[in-house]
Amino acid sequence: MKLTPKLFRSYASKNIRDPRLRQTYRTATSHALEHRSRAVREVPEWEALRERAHRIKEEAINHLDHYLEKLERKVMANGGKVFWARDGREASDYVIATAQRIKARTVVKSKSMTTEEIGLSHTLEKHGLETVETDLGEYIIQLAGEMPSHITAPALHMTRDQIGRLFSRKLGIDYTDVPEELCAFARNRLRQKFLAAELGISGVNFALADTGTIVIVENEGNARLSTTMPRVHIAVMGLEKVIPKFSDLPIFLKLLPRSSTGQKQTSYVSFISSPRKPGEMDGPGEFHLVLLDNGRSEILADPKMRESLFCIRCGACLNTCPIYQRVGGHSYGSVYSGPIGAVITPLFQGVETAKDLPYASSLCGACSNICPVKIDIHHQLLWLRQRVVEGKGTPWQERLIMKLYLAGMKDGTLYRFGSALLRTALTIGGRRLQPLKVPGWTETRDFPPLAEKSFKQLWREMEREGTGHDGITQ
Amino acid sequence: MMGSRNEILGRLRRALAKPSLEHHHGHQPEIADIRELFASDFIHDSLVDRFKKEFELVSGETTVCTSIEAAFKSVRQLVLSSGFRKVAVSKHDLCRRLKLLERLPVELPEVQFISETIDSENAFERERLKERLSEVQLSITGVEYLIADTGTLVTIANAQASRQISLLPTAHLALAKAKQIYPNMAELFLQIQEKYGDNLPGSALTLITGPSRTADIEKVLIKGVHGPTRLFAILLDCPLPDTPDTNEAPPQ
Repeated sequence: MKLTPKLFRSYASKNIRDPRLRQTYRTATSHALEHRSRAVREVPEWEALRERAHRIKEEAINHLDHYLEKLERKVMANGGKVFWARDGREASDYVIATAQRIKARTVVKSKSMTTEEIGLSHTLEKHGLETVETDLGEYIIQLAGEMPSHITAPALHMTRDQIGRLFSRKLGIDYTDVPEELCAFARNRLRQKFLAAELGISGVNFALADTGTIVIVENEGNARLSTTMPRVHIAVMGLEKVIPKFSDLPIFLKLLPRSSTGQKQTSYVSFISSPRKPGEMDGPGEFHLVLLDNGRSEILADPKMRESLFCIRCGACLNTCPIYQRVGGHSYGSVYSGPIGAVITPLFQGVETAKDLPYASSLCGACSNICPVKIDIHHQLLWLRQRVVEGKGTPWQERLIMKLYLAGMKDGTLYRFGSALLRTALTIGGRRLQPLKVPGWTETRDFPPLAEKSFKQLWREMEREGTGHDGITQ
Repeated sequence: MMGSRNEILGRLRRALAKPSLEHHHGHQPEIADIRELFASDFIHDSLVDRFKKEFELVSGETTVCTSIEAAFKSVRQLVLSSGFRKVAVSKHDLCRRLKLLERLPVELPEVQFISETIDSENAFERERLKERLSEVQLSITGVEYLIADTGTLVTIANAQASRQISLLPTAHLALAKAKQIYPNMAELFLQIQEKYGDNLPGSALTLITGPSRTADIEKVLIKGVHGPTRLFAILLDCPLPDTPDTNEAPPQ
């Protein structure tokens, strides 16, 4: 099922009317938020940590060329290979060429938003490579042929019985909706794939420029298996994942798990610096790092949006967003959903394609408050709305109303004339017509009713009746 | 390939020629010393007690022993009571000191013990090791460091232990000395940096905090999805004469 951000409105209006889906999102997001706030409360330095993380990301992003070159040199000195990919196609071609060179038949993949972004698994499958997503949530949505509905919990939208039916239909097992049984079945099946796979593909949470190390944060152990068992490991990272130093990492390792799942630490954090070294009994013989641009350099060239490159993909802004909680991840029509998805999807795919996403926000600012690296998400959404308007992406009625409003606000006489006209028009034959209907606007919200009398009229009346300006009778 | 590289770097440099927008919400005063950002993780009571508490909070099972003999008995008891039939033992110094591979097969003849000993340059033997470790129920290894504040074990891939020995079996037992415990991650990272500079040891360094887990199905917590279902630690809280391949004591 291929979704597109163009259809946000129709997906959202469908999903918001699905009570079962609403319940699933409500349970999952409130569960995550509860765990997060418990984990954050016990850290008195939380705000200082966020500020520090922001500064580190700022340093890395503002000198991105320098740190990427440093990373490249160190990875190569450690015995790894580095490939720069302008877009998803170049990255996929490199993975396919590597797979063909080593005569790979089976590829195991650990969870990675970057490879989702470029549709790597589909491309590999098209080239005849059996490509298996090994994170349980990713495995489920791969079987279902769906997009992830959450940055860190890809199968968040599915219930246990839906997963049970999916396993029974696609894998031919007897139906069960017991999560432990479904999980045990997936473990055994995927273990065989890990033992057979020649190529392992992972994402990257952080890349350390000084030591030439990639860091992967996870709970299941599938990323460890994917980067350990096959003969060759390819890690795919967005350019923005580099941070200057190894010693910066504890800051992020304190912020990320708490923000994401409310854990103090995830089960596993892997630091991979090189292919297998002499004397070591396992580990891939080749380590490749793909540095993917795919639109990131354009975001960098956009000073107002640059900060969106600080994102560490924790998913906290999704959980806390009143819009995400109600419309769900698939409504966004993009692998990146929620507030940060509403920022970066228009930047990646063009404001015309995703013009509704910046409006998928109440601008309440909960996303900016929860963000562990202090991205000013809701202001970025406002900047994007400005671009939608400037690109004439809003309906003509709205543009007309805004033009009239602007003219009225600039000119006192026009304002008084306009509001008197509107007030008269709404009071025909002594009967007030309420509420005003504006196509495309009042179907989902009420137009605020006009007061019977204007402020100026009330003021004059008060003066006449001898009531003081402070409202107290003198 | 060089074409893409130079083009991307060119794009980045052109992009960075434009000044970045100043971050416009409230700045916190910056704290330069990472230790201060971890101040609340500093441990004033016993590191062993704190490690034990945190390790158990993430479903780990700990035993603290005050002698090598007690530690050996504790390992034997664990193998016996859990009913494991196939156990792999790494070549780590502590496994050797406890003489696990000499004594356990004699005392527990019904259990099969395998040593993680292969010719590391033989690809066929490396493939065989994967399969053998996949059939094992329990692995026993040492670790490089422990972190008290998060209940974390730190392993490094080297000639004494593979990456997968702590991952493929259904249960993992780590042996460690109390003096390997660091109070928090900042302290440990500063120590690693001081010791190794920019050249991290081994091809992989791994932080292990509790058994493998998932909550991907309706947020139900399930242990043991790809890695071990159970995680044990036996801590030796007694003076041990140093051997060349053990770590220096953390600065206190």
